[in-house]
Amino acid sequence: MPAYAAKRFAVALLVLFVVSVLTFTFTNVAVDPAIAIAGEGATDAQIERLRREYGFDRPLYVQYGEWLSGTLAGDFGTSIRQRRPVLTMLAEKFPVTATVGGLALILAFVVAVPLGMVAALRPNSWIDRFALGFAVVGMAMPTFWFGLVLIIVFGVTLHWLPVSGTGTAAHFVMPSIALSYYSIPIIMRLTRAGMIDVMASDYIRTARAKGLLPRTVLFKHALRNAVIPVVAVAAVQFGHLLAGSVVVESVFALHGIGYMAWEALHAADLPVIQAVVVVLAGFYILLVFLSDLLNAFLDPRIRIA
Amino acid sequence: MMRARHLLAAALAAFLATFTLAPDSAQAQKSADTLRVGFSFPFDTIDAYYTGLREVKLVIGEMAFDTLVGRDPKTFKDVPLLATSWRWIDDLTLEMDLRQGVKWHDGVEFTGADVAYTFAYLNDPQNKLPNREWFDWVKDVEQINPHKIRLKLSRPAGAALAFLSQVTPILPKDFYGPGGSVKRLVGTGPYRITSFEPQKQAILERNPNYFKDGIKGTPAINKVIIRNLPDEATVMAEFLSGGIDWMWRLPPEQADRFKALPGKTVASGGTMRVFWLGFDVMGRDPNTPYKDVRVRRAIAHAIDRSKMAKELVGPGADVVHVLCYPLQTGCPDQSTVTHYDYSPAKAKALLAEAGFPNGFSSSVWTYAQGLNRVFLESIQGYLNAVGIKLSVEITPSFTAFADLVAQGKTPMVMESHGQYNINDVEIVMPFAFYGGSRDNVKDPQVIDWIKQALATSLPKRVDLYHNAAKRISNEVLYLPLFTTSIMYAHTSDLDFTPWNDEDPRFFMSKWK
Repeated sequence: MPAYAAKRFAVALLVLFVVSVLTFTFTNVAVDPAIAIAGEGATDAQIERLRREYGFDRPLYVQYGEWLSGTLAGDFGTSIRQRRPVLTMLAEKFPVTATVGGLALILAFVVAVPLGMVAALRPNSWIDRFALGFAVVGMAMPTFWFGLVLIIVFGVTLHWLPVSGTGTAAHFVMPSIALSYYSIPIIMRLTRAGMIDVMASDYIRTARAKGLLPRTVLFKHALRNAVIPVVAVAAVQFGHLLAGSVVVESVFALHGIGYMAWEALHAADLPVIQAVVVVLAGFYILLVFLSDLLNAFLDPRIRIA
Repeated sequence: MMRARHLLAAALAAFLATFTLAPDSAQAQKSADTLRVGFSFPFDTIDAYYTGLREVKLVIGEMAFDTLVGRDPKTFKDVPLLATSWRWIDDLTLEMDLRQGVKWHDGVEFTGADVAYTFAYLNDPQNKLPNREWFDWVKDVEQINPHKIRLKLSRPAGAALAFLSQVTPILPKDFYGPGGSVKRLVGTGPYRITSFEPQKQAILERNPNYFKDGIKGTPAINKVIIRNLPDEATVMAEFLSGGIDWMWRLPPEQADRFKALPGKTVASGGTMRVFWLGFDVMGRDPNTPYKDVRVRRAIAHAIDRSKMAKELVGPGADVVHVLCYPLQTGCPDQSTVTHYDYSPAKAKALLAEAGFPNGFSSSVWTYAQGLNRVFLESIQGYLNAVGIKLSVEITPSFTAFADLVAQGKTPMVMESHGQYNINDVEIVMPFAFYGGSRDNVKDPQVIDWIKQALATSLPKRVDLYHNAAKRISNEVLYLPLFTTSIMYAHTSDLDFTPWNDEDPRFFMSKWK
């Protein structure tokens, strides 16, 4: 197990390094930050001056080296637009993103696991078909569109919930629902598939033959085994939800990391974009790494392979 | 995704117009004497010098700070503000008398030392100011006494007063702390900033000590909360649900629906933004048809600019025949340049004369912003009618667009310039026509006139700019299209005047 963990950790570091190189390269190639800073109507001389003053005229590898050494020391640089340390900005915004992501994950479990169970116990019934339809809609519907529908219905028309912002707990209701719908289908389908497999296994038949109550068979024997792959996937889903918050936070004006990234993209605020991508990617890679370890712990065949 | 969201914004408004909202929410903030405003562009900073955003540079900037020179919003004339009078000692010395008795929001007296501090900071290269070129003609500020200063210029600056108005807020000494962070967030303006959270909101409260005889008047509304919302759709949703009392940039197609809502008022106002078409006149592509003035004139005749302004932009928009805002210093009288009337027949005749009886194919470029796509698709239709087959190309950002123009990959472009509210052609002419990488004309005569104008004081510089603008129009080196307008929506209990420079001046608003 330690050898397996070390190998996976090395892979994770390598992926993070590649992500940082690609992010730095693409953001610098995609936009000329000097033009973005100068704004419309800037002369060539003005753009050239800004390029020089901000150091954008230096070779990319020099800029990357400087950025990497700062990042390794915990300094993501200074936002071009806000003129504040990016690390401070990340620290301010992360609680909002983590709150929405966490609430969305909890909500996804609360909805998807029971629905997947019921669908598995009644395969091809109306409830199974309803669950399938619910999952297909969730997979197909863009999150931002679902968010806008929620705003129209519950914010603007019914006045039940605030449309945007982060002032109260009520502000997190619609964003969490919108974001959770992204994860519900996969958790539900995994639960259903796991339950169908488990319910057909010999030990469940034995448990039933022993005369155990159906409730005991279902929750104590079947469900605990069926949700093991779901729990492993949950870590990865949390990473997805954090990354997906870029869209949801933009729709609901939640001032988290996603919204900050969205605005930084518009403003070509390269230090912020680079930091957000690397931090979210790092978080995702960490969760995948932990998920790999969990899977290897639960299934020894993985670490042997 | 953004396009889909704009469509959804339209659907949202239509939906809401059908299911009318409770009118009582519209009245809620009058009793609290608090105006709630929603902006969709993100204000990252409260510092007007480090943003190009009108919302910060002008709206918040004018509320919290004052400039030396003010602007009469009706006439666009320069009027006293922090400076009560001024005079040119010579071409390189501008003497100003400063208003006495003015206090910063923290109670400290405003003096010439603050003006000196401001310009010293602006012109220090270490501070990496995005628009230092707007101020770098101020070499030094000499303090004759606490309320009399002399601006020592490094070169003749005929546009000095225009640049000293609106975009050059005077900062207090010690405004900036280490690393350029804002340390002393106070101004002399009619409102003081009591709270600011980047990309979230700014709260401003009335300055009870604001001087009474200035052009800004005395603020009537006690508190203004400016919220940053992610896009126009959310701004509309907040406005319709009673979350904000004032919004701007209402899509024209939504105006009638919003007007029909109880407790809501819709108004339109002009802007200083001018749209134009640019061509590859210098022939960066050797086969370009745009080198031929007859082709450019044909295009000018082929587009019904008046109809575009009226039907696509709305009230307040107007056709322009010169490539500057008509009230700007240096912008010639429109009657002195050639007017190209809408005439497809003349366009076809000119194309045939130029050797294109069956037209030609080309592309036109712009960037995703506002109604740019709508305008270009309309132009595409007009030019198609005379045989010019245009493909419409839209880059996702201005920076990508600017890159392509600089590389000479854009046979025809549509651009606009909001002038940053600077009432002098110097803000637009040198950038567009001064031989830079984005000048696809590089007309030696125009370049020479502008070069002379930049180095010349009043009044000769005005004549030089007039010459340049007239040549641009007459030779269709660029084709001016129209100025634009914007739509405002606010609760009906707010007395709000839309001014023609797109500056809402909340300090002049009051509750009815």
